[in-house]
Amino acid sequence: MAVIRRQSKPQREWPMLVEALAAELRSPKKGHPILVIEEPVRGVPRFQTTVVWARWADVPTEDRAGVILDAYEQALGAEKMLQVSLALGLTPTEAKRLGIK
Amino acid sequence: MQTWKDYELAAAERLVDAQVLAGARSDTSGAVYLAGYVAEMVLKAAFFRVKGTPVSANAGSQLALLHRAVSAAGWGSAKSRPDYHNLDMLSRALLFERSRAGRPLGHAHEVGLRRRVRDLSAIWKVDLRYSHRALQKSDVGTAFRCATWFLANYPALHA
Repeated sequence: MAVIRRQSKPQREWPMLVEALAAELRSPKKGHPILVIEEPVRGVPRFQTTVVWARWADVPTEDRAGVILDAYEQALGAEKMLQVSLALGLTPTEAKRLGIK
Repeated sequence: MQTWKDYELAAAERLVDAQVLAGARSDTSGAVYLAGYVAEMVLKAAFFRVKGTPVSANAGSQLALLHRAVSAAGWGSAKSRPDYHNLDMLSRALLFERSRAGRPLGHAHEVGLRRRVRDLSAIWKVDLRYSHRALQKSDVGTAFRCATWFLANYPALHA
């Protein structure tokens, strides 16, 4: 049996994730390792966003939504960020488990 | 994982618990703690409902939505660490979100909400869960009345 002890990355790395995600939101590229899925909420000017990204592996679940919201604000402005009604950060493995492609 | 539906159910359950505790001992800090918890759950559930957060979502992982709403409302900074148990902050987030959704809370309900948040905040803080002090009988009564108001007006708060 192998024992793998992973350590959470320190929070000071979150700004780098925000920066990288904001860059992708500003100008999405085909084949980029970040996949962003936006779905509108029926009847209201809100949308849900799911960000599939391998780099979430080191980020606790409760911190991921904050990173996503900061990236939206940085890339697309506060107004757009405030329209998010669900900010979900998933690793590709987690996304696959949930049936998200 | 807790959803906002769990918050709703917890609010209703904890109000009953508070009632039982207060009936058994009229000066217990436990009853006041539970009463405040009812208000906290009601405010969080109402916020997520108004926001359009899906019922299946892990609400605990979406608290950043609440924090950003409060910051956008001009209360606290997006960088400062929020206190997700602060009833004033939670009520401001709800009022802000309702305005943004184009359905601001009616005047009577807003006045009622602000009054209950003020009254409850004067005697409740989340640290009461560690408290072993006896409280005034009148404080228990106030907390209980406020919690009852929150639960009774929950439909109006998120409608």
